[in-house]
Amino acid sequence: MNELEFDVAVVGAGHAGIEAALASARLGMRTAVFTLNMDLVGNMPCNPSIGGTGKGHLVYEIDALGGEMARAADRVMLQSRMLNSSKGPAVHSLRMQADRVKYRNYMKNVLENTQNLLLVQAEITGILTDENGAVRGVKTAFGMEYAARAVIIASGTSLGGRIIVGEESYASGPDNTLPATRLTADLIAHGVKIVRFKTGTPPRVHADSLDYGEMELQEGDAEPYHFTPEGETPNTKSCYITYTNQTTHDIIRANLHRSPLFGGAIKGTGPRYCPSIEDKVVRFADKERHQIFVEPMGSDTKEMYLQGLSSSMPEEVQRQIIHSIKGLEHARVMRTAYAIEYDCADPLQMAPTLEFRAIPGLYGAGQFNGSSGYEEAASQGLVAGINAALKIKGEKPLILSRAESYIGTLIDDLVTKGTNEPYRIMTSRSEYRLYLRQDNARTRLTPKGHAVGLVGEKEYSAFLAEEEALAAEIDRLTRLTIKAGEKLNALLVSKGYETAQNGIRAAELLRRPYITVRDIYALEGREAYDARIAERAEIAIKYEGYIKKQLAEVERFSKLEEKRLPPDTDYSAIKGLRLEAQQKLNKLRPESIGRASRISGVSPADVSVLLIWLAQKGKRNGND
Amino acid sequence: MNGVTVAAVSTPRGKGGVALVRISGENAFDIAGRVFAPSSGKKLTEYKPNTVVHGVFSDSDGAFDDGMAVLYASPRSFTGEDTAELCCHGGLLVTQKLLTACFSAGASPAGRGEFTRRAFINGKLTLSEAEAVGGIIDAVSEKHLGVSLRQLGGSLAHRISGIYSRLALLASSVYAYIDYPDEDMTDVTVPEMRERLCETLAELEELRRTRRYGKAISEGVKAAIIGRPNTGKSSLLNLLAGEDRAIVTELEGTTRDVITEKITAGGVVLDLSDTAGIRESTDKIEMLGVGRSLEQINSAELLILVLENRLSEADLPVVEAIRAAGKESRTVAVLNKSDKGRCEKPGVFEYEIELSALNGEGKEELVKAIETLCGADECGDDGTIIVSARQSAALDKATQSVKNAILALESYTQDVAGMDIEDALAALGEIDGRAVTEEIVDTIFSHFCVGK
Repeated sequence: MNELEFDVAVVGAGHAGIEAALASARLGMRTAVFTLNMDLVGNMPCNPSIGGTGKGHLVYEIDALGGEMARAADRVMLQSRMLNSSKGPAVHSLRMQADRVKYRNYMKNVLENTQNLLLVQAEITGILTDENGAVRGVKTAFGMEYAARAVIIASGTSLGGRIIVGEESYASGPDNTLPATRLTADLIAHGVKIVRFKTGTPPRVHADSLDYGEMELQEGDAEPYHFTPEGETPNTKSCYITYTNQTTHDIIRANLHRSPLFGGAIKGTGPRYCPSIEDKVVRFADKERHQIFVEPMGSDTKEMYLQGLSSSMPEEVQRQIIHSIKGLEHARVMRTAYAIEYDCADPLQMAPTLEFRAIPGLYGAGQFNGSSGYEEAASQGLVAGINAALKIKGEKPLILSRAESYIGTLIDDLVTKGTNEPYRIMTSRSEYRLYLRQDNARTRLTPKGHAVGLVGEKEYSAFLAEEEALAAEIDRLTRLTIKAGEKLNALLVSKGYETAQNGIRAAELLRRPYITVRDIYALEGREAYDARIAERAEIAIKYEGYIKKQLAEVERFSKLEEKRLPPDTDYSAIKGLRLEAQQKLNKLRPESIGRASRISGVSPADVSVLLIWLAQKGKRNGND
Repeated sequence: MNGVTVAAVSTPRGKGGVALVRISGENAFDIAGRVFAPSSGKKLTEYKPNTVVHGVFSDSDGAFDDGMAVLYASPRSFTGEDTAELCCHGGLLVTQKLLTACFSAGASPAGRGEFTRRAFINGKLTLSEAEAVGGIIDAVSEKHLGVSLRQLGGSLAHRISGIYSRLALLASSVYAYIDYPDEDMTDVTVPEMRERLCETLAELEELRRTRRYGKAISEGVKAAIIGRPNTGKSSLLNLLAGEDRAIVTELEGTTRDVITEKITAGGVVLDLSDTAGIRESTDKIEMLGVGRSLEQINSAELLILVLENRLSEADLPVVEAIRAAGKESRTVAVLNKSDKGRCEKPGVFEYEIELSALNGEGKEELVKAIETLCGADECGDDGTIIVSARQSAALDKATQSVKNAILALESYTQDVAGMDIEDALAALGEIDGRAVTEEIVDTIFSHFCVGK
């Protein structure tokens, strides 16, 4: 094998690039992954945590498909908390504080020890295409050319990056790294539509300079959850909560003219979901306080991360802001907050495989596709890596649907609706929340991961065994009758229910809101049980009615997804479609009626026109 | 599918000054030319489209009427296809003859709503417009027509979108809290959520109550005039119908069978049956009629009991039959022949009206009572009335989902209730065309495609 010849080249070794490279290499593709800095593979330049609402779901799904992020997070976790645990199981979301240095080391080590994979430090300055416009490789800043049959761009915020602090600004990638300055122009020359986004990160302060007595302590869960069944790391660090106040807001308002956001120096569009503190103070003027979440950056460092204080104010203003907050009065700043602008591609140019429709073999993933967040990036990297490999192998692509995954929802949103700000996943983005839970991520996706070849036989048998055990436990609880008597009545009374004259089926009992599966195990005197199975059985029984309803909706959704629109359809020839719909449909060429219906600018009336057009067409063809 | 040229009478069946036969499709001009000959001696197709031409209609037996014809060239017609409109004299026989002539000349009968469906497929109408046109076509009463027209103007859409946005706000505040558990977001408490859901439920119920009246003005209500012999039931039918439909004599028991008429009372459409007077009789034929009258009491949704100027012993069998059928609250008692002396209201029925079927005095009061019994008072001031069965079904679905959400708040958590709220939103979206599912399109167009 020529050392400059590969099947797949991945540009960037952040969270998207890592999953893309690992998936591709594990599927047998000779894979090169390029990083600007060999010491910052898998860097977390923003918050030192993996997971969170909606994001936790993504991590479970990455794991179910055979990705790496979940395993890495489990290994380097500092604290684990199941968010929303007081709410329904659909929105339980795992968040882990992670040691960012250990995370980097873990990931670099995995990359280095994966067969077929080569990690290379180089700046990629352009893609190479053949006479048909298909990708054939990449070139580096030092003039080297690497041949590749597929190229996945996962450039994060490094592409055309520019850091802004107050009146100061300079070309830079995240964490003061070298930016990639030449690739954008090359992509534009290849016809890629580039847009400019903005994001930011808060200050880091010295742990010993904080007054913990003035802040609320937030510990991890007493029984910490992990993303994988093998996870076992205990909680070792705590987080803290404090709040901004009137003085903070006064300082911000008095200095707004110095903020590049409001002064007009920043042109990129920032995320609504993770706004800077000055944004929040201006937009929610009547709010008396905003929460600041103080997170540890690692076990071997004193740096603390101030979530909620993202800012692009001049440094001296930032210091005034920090010192106005309870518990942070004497905080010593180690890293200044900054805003960063970067180039990314309009994801509407991509198919659901994340391949550019106009440039065969070129894929995008992560922030390059307009998303925000490590988990969103890793999800796309995984899908792009798998599809690049499948295409080279000549196999059917892997397209995850909205009805089966948050990953599918995220990608469908990006490539169908596009985004005009960094896109963040949220549980409310899914229509099928009650079905798309963390606990059943493997049920939903592991068979697909196995079919593709990323989930190995050993893991797959373990998965099948768990599914069988779950089915058996649900069946057992459905048949089991809890006898009437003192023990049962004591439980019922303690939960605020009336006593029972007769025995009750365990499943029946479990459907009552305040009864848990552990209560039932206590009644039967069952001590040893698999906590994962127990919890999954409880959810399946308690929410059976809703889950059934949701599955019916999934079915209905799938029907519309199965109504295929021919790729060569000329939408301007379909009578009754409004002009805007014709143009959008001609541009995006959705594969199905379902996807067409989600394109903005395609109205319900247009969808009914399409349905009737398809029906007529089918009838005509049927009559031929 | 569009290759077939179809024809149908586009004006209502029955009497009228003129009637219109519409032909739509590829061969429309040709077919029109075969049944219509311009008086000028030229051929119809020699005239420019959109020109009104006078001439005679004929079939294989020769000319049978004269009238006008207009050709509309595709795409500038209602359906978007080549269309001919033939205007003959009204009357069942002539119109039928013209339509049959069109069929002999090569047209196929148009299914119900066929022209609208073609207009939709050819991009001349949107789905909601198509449905509103359906309502206008189907309008039996003027009230229904008014409601359909108002619906095109959006009074229902306005009410629905108000409810929709309040529910959407509730859903989004729940999701904001779920998606940002760390943010210092003000939670919507369970009691607050329940209160707002109950308010929405009340609004939905209010809209649903208009459905009874909506049905009465669009589909009609089965009603019967009942009473002992010779109280003037047939005179009352004639009074309400506005013309002599039943034979009226001084003789008791003149009406021996049930006569049914479609009449409008205010906005309400009544399938009103005049029945034989109820009494013991030896006449076999009359007793058969009496038996049918009793059946009417059981099957009608609204009863008009006709008495003389007071309740007499002879009325008791009828009153007993009403009671047995449990229809007291669905009965209007009319004290007829008020011109013949002072009336004594029996005070048994909720609606007791003095009326003279002879001079029409008291008719307005009767009409008002009928309207009230059909639910007119349950409609709000903005004139929003649910007339379409599809809208009604979607509204029922939305109401059930809001009820489920309230239940879910008791047994589950707010985010689960949020899913029911989303179901309610989807159902409301169906009403005003915000969301179109395949089922809706199928339902609407199977309604339009009857006979195809």
